[in-house]
Amino acid sequence: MPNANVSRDPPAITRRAFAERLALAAAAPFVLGDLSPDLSPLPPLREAERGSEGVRPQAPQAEPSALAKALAEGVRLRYGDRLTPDDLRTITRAIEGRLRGAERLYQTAITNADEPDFVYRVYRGD
Amino acid sequence: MADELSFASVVELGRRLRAKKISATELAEHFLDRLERLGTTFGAVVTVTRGRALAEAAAADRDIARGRLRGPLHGIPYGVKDLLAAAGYPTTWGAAPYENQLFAEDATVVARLKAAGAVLVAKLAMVELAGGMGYNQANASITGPGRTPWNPDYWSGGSSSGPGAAVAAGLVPFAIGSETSGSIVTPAAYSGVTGLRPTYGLVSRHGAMALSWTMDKLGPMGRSAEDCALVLAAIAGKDPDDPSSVERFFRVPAALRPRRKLRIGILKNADQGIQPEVAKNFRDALGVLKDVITMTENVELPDLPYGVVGGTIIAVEGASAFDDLVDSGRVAQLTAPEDRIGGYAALAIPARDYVRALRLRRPMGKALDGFLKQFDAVATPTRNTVASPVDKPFREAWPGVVTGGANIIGPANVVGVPSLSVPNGFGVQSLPTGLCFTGRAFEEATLVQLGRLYQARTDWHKRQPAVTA
Repeated sequence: MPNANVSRDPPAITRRAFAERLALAAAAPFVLGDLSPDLSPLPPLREAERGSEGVRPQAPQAEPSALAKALAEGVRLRYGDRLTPDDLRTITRAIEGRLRGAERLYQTAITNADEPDFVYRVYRGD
Repeated sequence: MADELSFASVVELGRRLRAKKISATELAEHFLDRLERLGTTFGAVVTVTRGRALAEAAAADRDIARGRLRGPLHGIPYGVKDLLAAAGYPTTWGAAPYENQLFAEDATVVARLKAAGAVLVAKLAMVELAGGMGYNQANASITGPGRTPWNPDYWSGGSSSGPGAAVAAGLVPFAIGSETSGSIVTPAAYSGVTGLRPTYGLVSRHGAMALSWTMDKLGPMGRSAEDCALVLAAIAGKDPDDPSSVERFFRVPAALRPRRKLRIGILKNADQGIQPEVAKNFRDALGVLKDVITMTENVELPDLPYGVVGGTIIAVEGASAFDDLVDSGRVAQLTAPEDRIGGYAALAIPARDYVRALRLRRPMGKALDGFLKQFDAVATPTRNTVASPVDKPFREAWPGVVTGGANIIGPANVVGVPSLSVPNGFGVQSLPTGLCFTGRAFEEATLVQLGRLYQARTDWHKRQPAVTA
């Protein structure tokens, strides 16, 4: 049965939810290996997406953080001979995007007993 | 005869084989011919395995003639995404640096299908390295973009682009795809075929390219939920060569009407902010099932950082899996420009973040299981839009719907639960759309049952694109 309520306008969402959707947009679809969606310009935010706080997630073109620059410098030191300045700018933006996304990893509480979801098995041959 | 064979189901082809109305060799020849004539049209094929196919078909014919029937796949041709090893043929992983890569042994899935009597006719195209370097366009494969047979100006989806296109174009009756996060259900939707992503660990990954050891899954793509179930039954089960495989099997559920209505959760915003045609097809599909389901609207996933956890795990495991490729600089040989540099940023992810993501996964899995067990399945549109044009970056394809809808692909893949995508109509540009059911771990039978119920009431899965033979 057709849905009479179909709308092109997205519902209002919080900044946190929007950030998670961006992360999902990067991780979930066919872009498998990239946490950061910020290698290309974001579409303009609609009013509802700005949310009541009126704050947009940091645009990818904004100046990367010092930490992102420092991490990118590590990449440049190892592989700079094969990367152009444009490549390095793109990599720095991607690192910045990942750093922002990674903040959410630490906003969900876990305890000392929450172990990584794999088990090491000792090996003994025949 | 051609039209009767090219788009026939596994069930129908098996019936013909057992009735000796056609031989396995004739069937193999039919699909080999189509693959060789049409494979490149849709960017669907890497290698046609003619020699092996005819040998396997001849063996099937001998068995069938002696009454030694191996099951429903005996004598049925199929293709595999070119990340699965098949002895004697290159396994390119869709990427130029691996163009001449050879493995001595079959992947476990290929070996199991051989044991079931199925006939390997092709290694099928895929997005290079299954998208592990962060591609953002359809043209990201050694074989060029996969094209959906419904409108070849548009993508067949990825990263199992060849399996999607090949099944849809009637080049193979079924195929094996892989999914780390969306790579079976997306091409199933964009190509108008049925795709089943099994629970993590149900199907052995041995002999498959690794992108993410803890998230990669292999699964069938075919004409119907029934066909996918038959294939899954043949490939599922513990494999000593894959420590992550589990001591479980999959049995095709009896085709009975359920004794009670199945409980379907509808995610909040699932049909909001997405392409209107996709939303309409979604609601129409649920309407078709109204006599056999009860719906709970506006349900919400536990609020957890699925995207960040999944993205971190895939990025780090992918960076490690392809460490030699990046370190050697051969990554520059990849097709998509963004893939040539996409691996470098992942090298800067702290180990702390990766381990944190792995630690979050268990509570995340428990929370999602607690959510999913309220229902027999959660329903969503498989994708928020129809396929992207092959000549545009994904982000420019359908502006305005990037963040719409309710994404369950990411969360489901992070925790490893199964999904089934079935075709449910067409949207703009005559492109197919998909209906996705997601359930608890190892509830594939319930998803198949839902797919069967839907496909018994509709004919979207039987529609055929206008493929020039």
